[in-house]
Amino acid sequence: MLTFILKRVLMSIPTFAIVAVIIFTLVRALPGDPALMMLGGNIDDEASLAQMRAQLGLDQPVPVQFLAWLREVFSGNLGTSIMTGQEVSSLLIQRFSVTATVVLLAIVSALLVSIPAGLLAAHRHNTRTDYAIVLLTILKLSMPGFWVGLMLLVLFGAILGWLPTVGFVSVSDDLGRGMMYLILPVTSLALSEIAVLTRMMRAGSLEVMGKDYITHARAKGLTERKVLWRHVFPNAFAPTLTMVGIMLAGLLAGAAVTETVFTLPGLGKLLVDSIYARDYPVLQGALLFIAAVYVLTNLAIDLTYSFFDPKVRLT
Amino acid sequence: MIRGTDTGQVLTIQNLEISFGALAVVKGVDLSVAPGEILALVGESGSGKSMIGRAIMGLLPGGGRVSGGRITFRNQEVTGALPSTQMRRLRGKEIGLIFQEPLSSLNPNMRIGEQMCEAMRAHTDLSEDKIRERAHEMLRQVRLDNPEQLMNRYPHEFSGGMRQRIMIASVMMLKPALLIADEPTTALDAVVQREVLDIIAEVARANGTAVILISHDLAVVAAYAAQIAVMEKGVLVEAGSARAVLGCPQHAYTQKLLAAAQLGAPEPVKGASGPPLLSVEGLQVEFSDKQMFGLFGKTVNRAVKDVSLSVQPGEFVGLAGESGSGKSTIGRAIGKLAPMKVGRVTFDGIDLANCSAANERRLRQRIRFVFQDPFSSLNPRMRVGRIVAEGLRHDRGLSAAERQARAIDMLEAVGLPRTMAARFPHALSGGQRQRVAIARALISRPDLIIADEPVSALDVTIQAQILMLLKSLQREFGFACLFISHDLHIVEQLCARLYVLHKGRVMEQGETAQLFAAPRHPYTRRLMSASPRLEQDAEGLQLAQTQPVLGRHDSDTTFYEDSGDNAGPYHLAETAPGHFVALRGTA
Repeated sequence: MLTFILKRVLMSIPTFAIVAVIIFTLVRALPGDPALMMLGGNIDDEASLAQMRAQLGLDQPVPVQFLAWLREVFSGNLGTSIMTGQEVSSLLIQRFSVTATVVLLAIVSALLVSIPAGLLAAHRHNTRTDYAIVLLTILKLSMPGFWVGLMLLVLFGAILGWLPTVGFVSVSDDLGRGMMYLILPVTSLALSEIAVLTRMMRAGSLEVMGKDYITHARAKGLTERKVLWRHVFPNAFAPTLTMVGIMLAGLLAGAAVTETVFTLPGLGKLLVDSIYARDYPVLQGALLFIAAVYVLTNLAIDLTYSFFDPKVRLT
Repeated sequence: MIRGTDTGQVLTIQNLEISFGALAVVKGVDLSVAPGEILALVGESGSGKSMIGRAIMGLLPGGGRVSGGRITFRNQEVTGALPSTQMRRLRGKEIGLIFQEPLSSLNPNMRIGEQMCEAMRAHTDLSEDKIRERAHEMLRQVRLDNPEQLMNRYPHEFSGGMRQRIMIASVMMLKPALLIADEPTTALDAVVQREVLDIIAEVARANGTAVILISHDLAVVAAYAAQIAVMEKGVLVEAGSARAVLGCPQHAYTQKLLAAAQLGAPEPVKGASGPPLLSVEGLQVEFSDKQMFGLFGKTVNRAVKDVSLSVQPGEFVGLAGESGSGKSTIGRAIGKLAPMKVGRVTFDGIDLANCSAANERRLRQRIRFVFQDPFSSLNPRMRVGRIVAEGLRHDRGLSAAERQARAIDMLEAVGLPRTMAARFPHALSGGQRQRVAIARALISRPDLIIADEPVSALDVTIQAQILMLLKSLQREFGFACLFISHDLHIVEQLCARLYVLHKGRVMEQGETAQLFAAPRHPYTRRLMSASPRLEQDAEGLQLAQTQPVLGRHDSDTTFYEDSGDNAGPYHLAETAPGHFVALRGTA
């Protein structure tokens, strides 16, 4: 187990190296000039522009800038935001905590709904219950996520006035009020996930239910509940878990649309803002951070696999 | 056969009808089983025999229902009328069920001990310690050592035979009054098959359990059953004591099944003399797959240790042995489908290891394979015609239409109608699919067919047909065949010469007739007694070889036998012209 983790961490080093090069060149390839943006965007004073460039280190050749950045990254310093002057690393952590709270809450609540719903649909295969569950998931899948988010805002925020529509209060500052701000974004994210995960769970369960060992479990005289939870669920969960892994990495890396709709100060929002502002250090830092999130999430999912399938050996 | 419900029978089935939709798959079946008695329920696949077993448990697959008649278990009617909680109390506790596929009937995700104990936990109030103790006792009864250790393992760490024994132990833990064993050994090879059936009979006797043994192979179950019932297309055509049914079969279908079990006189296909078509010298194959046997961790698996053999042009040569003997690996190594470590394989004078890519492609037209499982060896997304024609794709002189035409001709040659070409494999029966696989192999007019257990997945009646087909095709096309099988009696039917393999080495080799008349090596004898066949004698049909295979082991030390880690030196000695036997020591 430990050697497996170590091996995977070592294997991720080349990944990071490649990602770093791509990030750096892509960011430089963006049209626009941060120095110009800093000075207000519309200036003819070549002298102050050059001075600003020198101050930001942008007058150096690109490879030199890259090495300078890399050196800083290795010493744990992601630089400061051109726009706000904040430390990039603390900015990332602050924004990521918001995203992570929303995404993790959404995934957990989605699993709590989809696993039983998928099992139930498979158990009642080709009955009204099954059809209803399938219909609901298709309905949700065919609606764009941001639109559902907006509708939720309109209904619960504007019409009923039960929940706040704009703004954000951190959970660590005020748990009760913080939660009020989280309900809508979490629900909106979770709904999309539920639709996908329920279908995965249902398909997985249907396949497993055709196996001999399920009939055998019934032939032992086990209750249907035991058959479903002890025999069907652990064997049917693997594809759903894969899907959770893909979703988790993608969403942690920036649920930009949701964050924009619900005006959450999350990682995705930060990424979008820093692109508009040509805030090179923030942009680079954020992208590198996202790569790390991907690597770590996948590692976590692989570790979880070994828990659900004894045939998977971590070597 | 119809008896009342008060006759002391464990199970009585009266006029049973099982339907899927409007289609009745079982019609008017009457059966009864006395306490402690073994009843063999025999029929081909699709005869409805498994459905009866499922109906007794109230576990018919989706869409199936009991549409008529009654099933009475211990004077209590269980025909679908019981509420589910009551039925559940019978399942596992009073009626046990064992399936055909030991590979798929254990939950891959649960430790053995957990799977064994959960039924007892559900049905009794015994303490956890008592339950585990009972599990240990059962595992020892099915001859598995170290029960404590074993119970912490997962199913994938065991071989098919061991899993089936674990299954028996798990089902018999609660001492059910009735055990339904649905093809419990069909997926296993001959030696293991006998062991498992011996264990079922023994454990059932020890616990006073009645058994319904469902099988397509009359010869295999005949030795164990007191009563035999024969089913054809959902109808019970004959039932009675084993002696009566075997000795004096009344119904034509029973006679046909018996005929299939007898196979008839061997007709070995002899080859031409002269230089061999294929010669294998000192072949060794190793796999260093870490996960192949989780039990042993990361070990190198020496599948083939030292094998030399030859095939003459047009000759049928048998390669027999149980699973793990390396027989399939040899076939694969010849076709370059498995890595050869040491050794030399020459085909028609060409060294396979050092031939050019072009030569190799040509050789692949001349050496073709037929595999065991016709359900997975045909691409489900290709039409039969294309599957067969694909063997000609390297033949650039032919247009697509010509290839298709040849494929259709070949389908006819293997006894399939021309219209089959447009079908997909899933629409074909097992026997038909195997015919397609043979057509695919023969279309390039190969000189050698490597047939890896080509009939093992088929019903006995179909087996006989496919063997006949191979024989007549050989007369027509003149190919040689390396026939790989675990069933010596099938090998005997076709093969002029025979190699008996055990753990990657040849134990005995020689002319088939000679070898059968006077088998020398204990392993050969064991393999022979493991595949029972019926023989005609003065009193009618009798089981030919019935000595149990358990607890044998000749203590003879002159013969080489690999029973442990260090088997010592080995050599083949010629005991009669052309007849070689493995002995200990060096030559």
